[in-house]
Amino acid sequence: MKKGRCGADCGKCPYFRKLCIGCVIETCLVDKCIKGTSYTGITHPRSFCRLRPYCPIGGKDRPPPIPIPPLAGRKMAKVGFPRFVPEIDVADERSWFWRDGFQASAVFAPLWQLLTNEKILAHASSKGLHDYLGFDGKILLSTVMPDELIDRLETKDYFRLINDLKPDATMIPDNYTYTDAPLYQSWSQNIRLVSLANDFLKLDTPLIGLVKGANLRQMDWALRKQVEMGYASFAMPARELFEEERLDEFLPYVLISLKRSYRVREDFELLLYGVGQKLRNYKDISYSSLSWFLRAKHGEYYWDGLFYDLRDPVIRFEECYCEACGGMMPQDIIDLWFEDKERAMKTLAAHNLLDLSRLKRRKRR
Amino acid sequence: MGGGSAVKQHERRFLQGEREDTGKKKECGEAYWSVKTFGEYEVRETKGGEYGLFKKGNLVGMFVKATVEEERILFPLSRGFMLEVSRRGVREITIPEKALLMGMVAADGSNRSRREPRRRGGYRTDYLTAFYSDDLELIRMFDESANRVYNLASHHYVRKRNGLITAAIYSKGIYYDLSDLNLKPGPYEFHAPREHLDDEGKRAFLKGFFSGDGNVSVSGGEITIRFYSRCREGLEELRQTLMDLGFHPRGIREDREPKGKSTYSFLIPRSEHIKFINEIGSYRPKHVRIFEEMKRRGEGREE
Repeated sequence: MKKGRCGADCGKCPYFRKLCIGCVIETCLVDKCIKGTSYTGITHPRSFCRLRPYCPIGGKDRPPPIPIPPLAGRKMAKVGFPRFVPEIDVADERSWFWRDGFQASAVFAPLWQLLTNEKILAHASSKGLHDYLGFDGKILLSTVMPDELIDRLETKDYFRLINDLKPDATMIPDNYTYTDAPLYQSWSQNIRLVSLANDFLKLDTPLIGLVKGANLRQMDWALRKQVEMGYASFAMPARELFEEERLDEFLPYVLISLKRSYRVREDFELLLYGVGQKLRNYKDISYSSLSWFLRAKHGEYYWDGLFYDLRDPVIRFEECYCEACGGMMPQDIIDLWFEDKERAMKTLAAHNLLDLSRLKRRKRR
Repeated sequence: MGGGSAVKQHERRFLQGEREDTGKKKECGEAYWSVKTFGEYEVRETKGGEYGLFKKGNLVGMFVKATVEEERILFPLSRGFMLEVSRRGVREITIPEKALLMGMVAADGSNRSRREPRRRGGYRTDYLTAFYSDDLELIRMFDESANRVYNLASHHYVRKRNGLITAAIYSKGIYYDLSDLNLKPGPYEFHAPREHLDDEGKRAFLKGFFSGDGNVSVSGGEITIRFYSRCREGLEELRQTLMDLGFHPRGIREDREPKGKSTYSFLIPRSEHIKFINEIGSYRPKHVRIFEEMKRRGEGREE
């Protein structure tokens, strides 16, 4: 390890000397700032710089990471992800599709939506998520949340929330690992992730590990530690990487790393979280997102795992025989939209959900 | 949630992340850390380790030390004061030692000045802050507090007739400091400066006062805890202070004396005796003995 691009002397780092190869990322925002390019809300204006703890010229000593405790172990069964696990909006009952007679064996309920709505949180905590949502299938708790909430919660807060909400399985706490922030930050966050994964072994609830990291080395390290602890189900929050078209840099390596860690492919399962369309090149992975609902709100229609504007001529006059459409074409949904917007939106959302839940590519007529 | 590029995330979530050319930097002149923000006040720590207090972005004070707590930040000032910055704004509060000293002076002390003409013309003014007690333990507490707050030692005088000890400090600075707080407006009068006391300060003030003008009596196995004073207004303020701390003191009673003077008092309800002993207590050895006995009995009952 040598000096980082920004000038920080990584050779003296007492924490990550064994793990980190040194900060050489060209896109590092601290390095860019020192060389003259700043970004509003992150490194500009300087008085509000978020990366100051990692800056060799404007900061002071870097905050030490939390120490990694001795890792415990527990034999864990897989959670059993279906091919598509719809995420729901706990604050918007229109996304509670089971009320309209549609079935799914599991849903993801995002914790952050509860945390930002005290009334709903109180209601859900008093009854438990099953009674609050009135859903009979598995409710998986998603801990993927904005950074400002991540920093606010401690292990005991998570334990309290999980005990009150009683989900069927929960993700371990999320972290933030940016590809353009100094590696010191992402290593600290990954160590926190492993430490919390270790704490979570005390819970009786089935657990879902997280695949996170700013680079392959970090992802591999965090994965191996979780495998050591006995985790068998993993979720990879991949929305940002997918939107930045960088998922292909990471996903194949993650799959190889998992396959190497387990003797048999059936011993683990991986879910891509936050990806709103099917990826043709990857088999045997599950998906989860709220896109089916969000896109319906914006009049977007899923066809064969890809989304289109309802008016797109490619799909506009294609009849669909799913349970929601019953032979309707997107044009019929457009017509319905002008008569009864709410019903049209619900039909479109249900169609999107069913399309994403389908396993095989459908045949065009 | 954070993954991928921080810039892209800022663009998506906050419509920020625009590129700005800010020039090459050898050092970051504006380097500071925002320690905490309370409404229009912000506390920033500079690279040099000092703390700046900003109001609406304008620097209003620099401090060498700070104590950062969950709900507030405290900056030490001179003469036993601290500047408290919290959601409620900014105020000067006293450190517990000063609150204790004020409580003792309010109960059994004086803070006065005397102006006399000089023989050669002009005037001479003497300033006196004193505490009177026949209890050595209380005199020691007064001395320790005065030393800690003002870095001054007191002179001791013992009255042969009754053994009363006077601990006296002759200092213009202390006189004006306590006068500014309106602690002893006149003889047998006092004022509890609640606006300058946080919860810890309130407890210390009450402990100081109770050590002087507090009474614990045992009669027929029943214990009475009582605050008394000739100053009704001051006593009412003490009641309010106790209420701030979650006590429910009884109403003030007037006891007329033969010479026409009145003494006022109020009681602490029996249900709050243990709370009072644990949270406030007293330095007077006689009180301490009874309190310890009460606690022992209470614990015995619990077992």
